[in-house]
Amino acid sequence: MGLIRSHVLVCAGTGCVSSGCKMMQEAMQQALERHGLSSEIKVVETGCFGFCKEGPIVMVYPEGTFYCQVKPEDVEELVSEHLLKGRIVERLLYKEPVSERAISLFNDIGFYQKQQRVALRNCGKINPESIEEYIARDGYQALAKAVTQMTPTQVIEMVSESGLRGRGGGGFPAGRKWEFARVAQGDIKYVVCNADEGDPGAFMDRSILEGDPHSVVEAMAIAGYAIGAKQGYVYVRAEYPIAVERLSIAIKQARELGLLGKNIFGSGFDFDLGIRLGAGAFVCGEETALLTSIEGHRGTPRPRPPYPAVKGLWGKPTLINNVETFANIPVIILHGPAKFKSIGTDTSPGTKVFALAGNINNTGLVEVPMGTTLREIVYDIGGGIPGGKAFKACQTGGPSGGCLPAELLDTPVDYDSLTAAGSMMGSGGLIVMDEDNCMVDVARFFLEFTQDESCGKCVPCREGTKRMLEILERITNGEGVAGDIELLEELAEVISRTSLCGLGQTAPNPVLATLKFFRDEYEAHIYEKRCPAGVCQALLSYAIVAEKCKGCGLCKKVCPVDAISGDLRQPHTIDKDKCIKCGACVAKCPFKAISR
Amino acid sequence: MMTVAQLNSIRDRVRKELLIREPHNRLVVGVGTVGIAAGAREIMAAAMEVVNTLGLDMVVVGEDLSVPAEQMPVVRFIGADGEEITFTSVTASKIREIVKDLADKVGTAENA
Amino acid sequence: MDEKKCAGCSSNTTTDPRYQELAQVIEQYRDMEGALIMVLHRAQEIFGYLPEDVQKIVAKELDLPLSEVYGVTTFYSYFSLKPRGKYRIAVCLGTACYVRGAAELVSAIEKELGIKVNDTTEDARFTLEVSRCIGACGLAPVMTINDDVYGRLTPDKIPEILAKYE
Ligand SMILES: Cc1cc2nc3c(=O)[nH]c(=O)nc-3n(C[C@H](O)[C@H](O)[C@H](O)COP(=O)(O)O)c2cc1C
Ligand code: FES
Repeated sequence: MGLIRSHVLVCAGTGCVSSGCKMMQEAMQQALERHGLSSEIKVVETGCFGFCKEGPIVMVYPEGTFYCQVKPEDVEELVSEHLLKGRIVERLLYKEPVSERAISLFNDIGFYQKQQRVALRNCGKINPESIEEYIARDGYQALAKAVTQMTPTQVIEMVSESGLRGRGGGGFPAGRKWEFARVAQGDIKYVVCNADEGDPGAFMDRSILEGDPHSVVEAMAIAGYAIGAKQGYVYVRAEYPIAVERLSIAIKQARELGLLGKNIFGSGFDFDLGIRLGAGAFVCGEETALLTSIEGHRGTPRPRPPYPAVKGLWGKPTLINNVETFANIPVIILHGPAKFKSIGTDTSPGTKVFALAGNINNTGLVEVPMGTTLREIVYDIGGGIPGGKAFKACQTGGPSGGCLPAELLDTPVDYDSLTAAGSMMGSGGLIVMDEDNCMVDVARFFLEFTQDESCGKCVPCREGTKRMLEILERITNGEGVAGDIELLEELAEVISRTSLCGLGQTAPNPVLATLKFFRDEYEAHIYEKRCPAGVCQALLSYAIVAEKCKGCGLCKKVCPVDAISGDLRQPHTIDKDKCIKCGACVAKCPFKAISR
Repeated sequence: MMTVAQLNSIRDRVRKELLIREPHNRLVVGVGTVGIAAGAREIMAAAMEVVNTLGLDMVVVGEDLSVPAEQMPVVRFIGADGEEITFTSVTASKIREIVKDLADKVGTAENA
Repeated sequence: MDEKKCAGCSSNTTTDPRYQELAQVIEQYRDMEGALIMVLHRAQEIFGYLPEDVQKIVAKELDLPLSEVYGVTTFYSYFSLKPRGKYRIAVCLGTACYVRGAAELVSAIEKELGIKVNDTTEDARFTLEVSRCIGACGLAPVMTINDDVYGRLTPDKIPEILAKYE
């Protein structure tokens, strides 16, 4: 190979793979060969850039040009114009939604401007399958420093001093947990990484494993040294095949270089890692259930205490942290706790990664300093709500969390503020809902999820969530009765106080939060038999607004049950008895003349 | 077993390769259609060779620089501090000298 | 083998290469603590699902009660006890996809194929399943058919997509 003058980074995260980056990358390789450029330009596959909506994403260095939505047929132009003749291909640049301004540099894009990347520091910057690229960005320096220059106690002091809190949802101080595991009595100890990522609308941990797996490997080795463990396990969902593969490669590479194995850096410290696959059970994200699952059993939780730090995997003291928690560790050890604490708020230092999705313009993965407000995330980074619709709520914390309404958009995101506002941080799913989302239906959606995922071991969760779901289904079907809201509240109270594990204890949260902020929607469903957002089928009543109807007849053609009648160029009408509420007419009407 | 010294040597070696992704000093070669016709690709190759042999903290970039055709091939140095120097009617042998002259200014990739 | 007589019971454990592969997998994991789930994962890769006789073999070889193996296979939704179609459709019902109308996709597919979620069409062509977030929320609503991912879907695109799978 000749001298390389340019690196073309192609995102190979799940989002971009879905958008067809593999075919585009092949086309790129072929085009480079056709133009005789393959010896001077290197194509590098990276992890997620975060801006999944604009995928497939291509970055051209050294210019740092950011191209989006690159299709195989765009590649020829990109190669012959940009890579050969040095001309930026305007039409493939990102365009600011409002100003339509084309932006070529990554950091100038609004989506990235307010972000600060700590946990995602290498995602989209390096080839996750190259340990050398990780090392070039100071990878494994923190491990070297810990095992050759520091005592285990000093390592833990640093983590405690940083104020890092668990990113898996609970927000428990990491340093305290490490100290518990260190002082626990036991000849054998384990370090476990929770990569089960159960929140059904979130993919932060997956992106870290796909984009920078070595950061987790390194951090787990540091944790092993700190607490006195020689073996670690990463528990990954089987639904994440790319993450599993990249992590396996990372572990293999680290072993080959002696960064895992015996006598790491000549310090006498031994550590190795294994991967265990989950098998599609949400409850296995709960730490005790996860450990039971690693042991090869049905993943049911067990009562705490004893906490895993005292009695965990196979009864031995076990430290369990989330992927993102671990990803922060090398930075803390290498650059010191003070630097880490300079980001974020007093009680929640550092950054948090969110999977921003739902009804918002810029969906993707964002990392912001703790304390950033929801408004900044939704509007400055997320670019607001599409189609000029009104913002209704922000859902955080997934099935254990809650929704915050527009009045609370100025809430800063940190553990304590979100809890105080009536929601929670959770693991990082952030779903934006607009005026067309029904909050009762959203609550029903989450309850359906938790009810389905309840492991069945304890009665309050198994039976209670079922009863709550039945009531919610009744309400959304237009069969709600007076007293339902009060009954939901009573059930919620009992379930959250008496369930065995976090799944049941938090399952009522989505209902309580929506009741707190959107009680009027529940009341409209129950007392007025009306779904204000127009979602709940049974409550809809389609009608044509005569003033808006131009009588084009499109709705009449599309109606599957011939419920619409009217003469050409005259306002049409819907026969309510025939209408099956399929919504086909609404989708078809060019004049938005059909109300529901 | 890997020693810390070995780790550092991998880091330093690969960091040089990755400078392309976070360049400090840039040598921009005008590679538009006219530039290429005037020999810009050969100049680029020569520049890269010298940068590599001297191990400089500088990357060579192709860009469509707009200058009058008679001044082609054109090369522009853009320093980390924003300093710009433009060289016109460059040849392959001239570019070698230019890069060598810039060596002190940019320093080596080792110390980047 | 006399194909006319074969009832497809798939208990032909001596000549079917899949069983030899299973034996190798078990050998590889035999000494690993808590190996059951990892073995079942590999077994499902080999067979496409977990037939009863496979569960029996795994139980016997790992020296576990069959009830324990069955307990595990039924607890985890990733394991399937029923044969599945040639193409597995999985509609994402993660939160992001849900708020963008994924439920309507499910109804559209159910209508198109005449089956319900978790069923397989009579010709064993399609199995319809629902999944949780696959990490393509930016393209919501999303579905996968085997390894192909389809994003930014609307119910009217469904028939055309399904027609591609013969
Ligand atoms: C029902 C339930 C599901 C959970 N799912 C996850 C998960 O998917 N990922 C995760 O890291 N933590 C999850 N947790 C939290 C873990 O129990 C545990 O607190 C966490 O892994 C600790 O790591 P951290 O301190 O680094 O956050 C879940 C908890 C409950 C109750
Ligand atoms: S919720 Fe469907 S891909 Fe994330």
